[in-house]
Amino acid sequence: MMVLALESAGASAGVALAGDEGVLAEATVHTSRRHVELLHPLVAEVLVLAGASVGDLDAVAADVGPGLFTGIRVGVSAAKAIAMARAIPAVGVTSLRAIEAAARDAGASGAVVPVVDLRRGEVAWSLSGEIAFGPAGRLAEQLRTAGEAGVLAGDGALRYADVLAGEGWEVAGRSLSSAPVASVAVLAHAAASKGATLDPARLVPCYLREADARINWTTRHDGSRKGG
Amino acid sequence: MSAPPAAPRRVLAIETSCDETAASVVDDGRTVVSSVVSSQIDLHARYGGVVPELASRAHTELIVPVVTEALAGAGLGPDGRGKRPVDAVAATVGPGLVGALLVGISAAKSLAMAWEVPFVGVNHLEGHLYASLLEEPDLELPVVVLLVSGGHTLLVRMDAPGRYEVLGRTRDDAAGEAFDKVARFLGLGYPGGPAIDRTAVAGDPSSVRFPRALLEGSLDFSFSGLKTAVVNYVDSHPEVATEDVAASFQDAVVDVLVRKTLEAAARSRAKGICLAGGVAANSELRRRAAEAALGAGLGIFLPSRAMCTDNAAMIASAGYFRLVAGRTTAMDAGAEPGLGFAEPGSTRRA
Ligand SMILES: [Zn+2]
Repeated sequence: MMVLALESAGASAGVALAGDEGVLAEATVHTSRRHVELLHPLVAEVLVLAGASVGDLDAVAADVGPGLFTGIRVGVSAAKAIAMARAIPAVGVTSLRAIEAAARDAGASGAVVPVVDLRRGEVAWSLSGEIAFGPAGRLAEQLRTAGEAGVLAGDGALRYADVLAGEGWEVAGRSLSSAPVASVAVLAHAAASKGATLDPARLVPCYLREADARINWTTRHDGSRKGG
Repeated sequence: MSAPPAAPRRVLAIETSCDETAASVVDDGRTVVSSVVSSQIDLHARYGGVVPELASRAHTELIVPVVTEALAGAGLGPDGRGKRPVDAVAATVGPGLVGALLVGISAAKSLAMAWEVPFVGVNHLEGHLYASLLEEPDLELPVVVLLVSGGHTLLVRMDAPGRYEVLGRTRDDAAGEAFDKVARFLGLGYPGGPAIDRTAVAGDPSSVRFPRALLEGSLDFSFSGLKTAVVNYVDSHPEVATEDVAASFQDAVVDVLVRKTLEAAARSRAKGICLAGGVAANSELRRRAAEAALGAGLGIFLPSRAMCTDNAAMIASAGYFRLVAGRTTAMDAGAEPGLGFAEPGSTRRA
């Protein structure tokens, strides 16, 4: 079973190929911009590095978020389209699960709480397997009442370290600021091996927050809009 | 990239630059095999305009079903298999809403990669020029195309597919933007073009003489003064019938558009004129353009309303002519939200 994984939900663009023996090849560029420019050349490169072709793929996975809306859509649209075009299934992996898995791989013992920056003063986190989002202060309260201690990982943890760290909770370093694509690939491979896959049309982003539909005519009419 | 395969060539195109998710299969740049357009107008109507985040979300949901339907219409499975598989995948790279463009570009590059065929990035404005050619393959060139939409007002001379010259453009608001703003001011709803068109039918176009910005000697346009004139007139004449204002405003816009188009055709010795873009669906513009062209002994082509508004068939057609010219696009191409007409767009070749 060979699974291609795409990562573009945070401050990196990454592609990895996982086989039954683990990750076969991976490539990551650390940037929060230019996901659409980087992702496809990285797919081509990773396939070449692993000596594989698109015809060898059994499933395609994407980090579905939570994270940067635009980046998530680039990855999800790409994964869906590749899966559709090759008549293979898709797999969705949340950024939170991938960050948590990466923190465990890095040797974290005890509790691991992935925390992703949602901007506008909010973060998303996963505590005891439940995904939630809100101001970092709310997570801080939950951490205090949880009575545990452990590691906080992700760009949200780094950004709000002053609010979140302390009382036994430590913030992981920059290497875990976004989901490492190898973790996305390994989780996706495990899911696909169990048959936990989706029809490509059903791979959807995990936004958590509703779209902000407030209209701002002055900014919307700056020439960026077109129609007809 | 190796040389494109031998003709006939089949292009699948994706268009997601604004609020329509569209996909189409076109053969040889001229024969529309299938064309699917999923409009989000209802989604945005209550906000009085396109909400970029909502548009991007809808494109992400619709992209697979819309492409699947377009492929099915060409006798192909979702995996592209069938009697005549596609030879290239095209997508609009700009201008448009960046988040919306990215969905189509990402999907199109993926399909091209998965099928091992070239990717072709297309300028949306260039796409609009092919609407007439798709519906009238025997169109005599050169023609002057008046491209009028919510974001653009352009006069372009088309000498051959891939060979154009911009003769005039708006210096401020696009024609469609003026329609939208005046419709909103008059409380006629969104989208503004069709709303004004409908309302104007019951009004007298000669009831108010709004100014025409003719910018003597130039083929450029300016509509911001007209919009201000409408606001000022209604503010000082609150008793005026909305129908009369709509009809008089529309008359002023159409008057300028038609006069400039005719002048452009005369100056460039064109054989005829074509309309393109969403505003080209306006019934008064169509009527007056046809009348003026006939009077001047020029050919006139009015694309169907479906071909005027955003669709992927026109992108497939423009993509085909890029493909045969060897102008395929590299996999590191991005969205170009502010792309203008003069710039060829996606110049990074594969
Ligand atoms: Zn358009």
